[in-house]
Amino acid sequence: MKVEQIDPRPPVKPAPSNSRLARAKPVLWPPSDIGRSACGLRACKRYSIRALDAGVRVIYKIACLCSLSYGRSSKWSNDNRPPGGVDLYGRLSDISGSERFGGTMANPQMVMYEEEFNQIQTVVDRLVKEANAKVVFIVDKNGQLIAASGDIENIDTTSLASLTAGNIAATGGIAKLLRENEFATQFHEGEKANIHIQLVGNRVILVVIFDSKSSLGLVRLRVRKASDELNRIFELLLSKVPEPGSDSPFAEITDEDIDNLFND
Amino acid sequence: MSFINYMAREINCKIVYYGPGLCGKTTNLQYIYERTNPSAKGKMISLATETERTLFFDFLPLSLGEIRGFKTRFHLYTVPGQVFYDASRKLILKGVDGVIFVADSQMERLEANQESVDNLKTNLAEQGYQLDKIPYVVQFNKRDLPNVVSVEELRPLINPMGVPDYEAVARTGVGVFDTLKSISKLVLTELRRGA
Repeated sequence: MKVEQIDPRPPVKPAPSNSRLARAKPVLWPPSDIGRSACGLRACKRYSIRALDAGVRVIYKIACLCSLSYGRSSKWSNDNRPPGGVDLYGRLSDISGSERFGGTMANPQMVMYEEEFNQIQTVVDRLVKEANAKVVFIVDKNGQLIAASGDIENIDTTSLASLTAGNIAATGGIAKLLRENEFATQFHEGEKANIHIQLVGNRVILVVIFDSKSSLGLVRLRVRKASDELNRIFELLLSKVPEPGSDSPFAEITDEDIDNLFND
Repeated sequence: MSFINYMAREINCKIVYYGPGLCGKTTNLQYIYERTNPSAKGKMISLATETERTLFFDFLPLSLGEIRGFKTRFHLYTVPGQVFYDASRKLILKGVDGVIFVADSQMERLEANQESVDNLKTNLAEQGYQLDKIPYVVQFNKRDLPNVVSVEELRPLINPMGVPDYEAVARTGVGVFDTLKSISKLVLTELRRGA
């Protein structure tokens, strides 16, 4: 059976000629013992069943990581890839001290403006249609819901946002322990609903919930396109950091305003 | 860090309850959940073990009302207190706007409290924060138990920075909302400062 091949990884940024990366032996990706043919849901299922028959759970998990959690780095995270060390796939990375879980710098405050919000909402609305999805939403890595579209009336998006961010944070922690930068893509298959989680620009999380009306291949294809668009929008948004003292409504908050919140 | 959405006219902040195992972090959230108007709260999520020990986090979204036309939402999280869940604690501190340290006032937990404060400082530093630079309050919990250390003795050990502190009995709700109000005010004040 021929499995559709989609390579969501961005082109690898060439390393400076004097870096350790440049001196390292080139490594083929993915490793030949796992093989690209193992990627894709159906192949992965076969892999899993075979492995489970043999009673080797670890192999089962590795097979799933191969097909669905690429450990892929976005352009953004590629640029920030820390130097030193060799990861599971032979790529160079570092897992030292304080950068282990999330870096040394706190994330700057995110401010969403109408223009970018509309652009993001357009991308999300279109993704629902193009991927034949039930629900699509975007969450920041701290668990704040940014935008949602689809059948959101019957779903607790706030809880989903928090749990998705927790999931990404936990997976990111595992990635760092494995000297991996991030597992940027996750997929969970249920009996009726499936969820595809994609880290975009190492800052926000794009979540697609779909059922049997769609397929993993289609979702991945559409998510890839949407991720590029979202990356551009968020880069633009982050470049619009408000200057202190600008027309922020919070500059005018009084102690009385704050006290009034707690009057009930 | 807080998330300001000018389009939806809302502001979201993240508050984390920190402290040693069994100090009452989850109990704080449960009391807040029970006593809050249904329209102002979302679903409370607890990722806990079968023995009801927090495994990853508890989460409670709260809506406090409007301030200058902006809906103010607070996302309350607890960390798992047990020592070996340190990796999870670090993750939950990501993007935090304010921290409540829940201390167990019992004599036999004094050392555990101090270790947890030190752990909080270390984990915050790894996220790029300093404890004395972010909104921070302390709650001395379990004041109803017989073997508690006096607040006067606890303060220099647990709260040497002299941040606002509150005596509490989270099980019955004493001091729970006072602590929450205090940190909420500090977070909003910080927001004004940064504006």
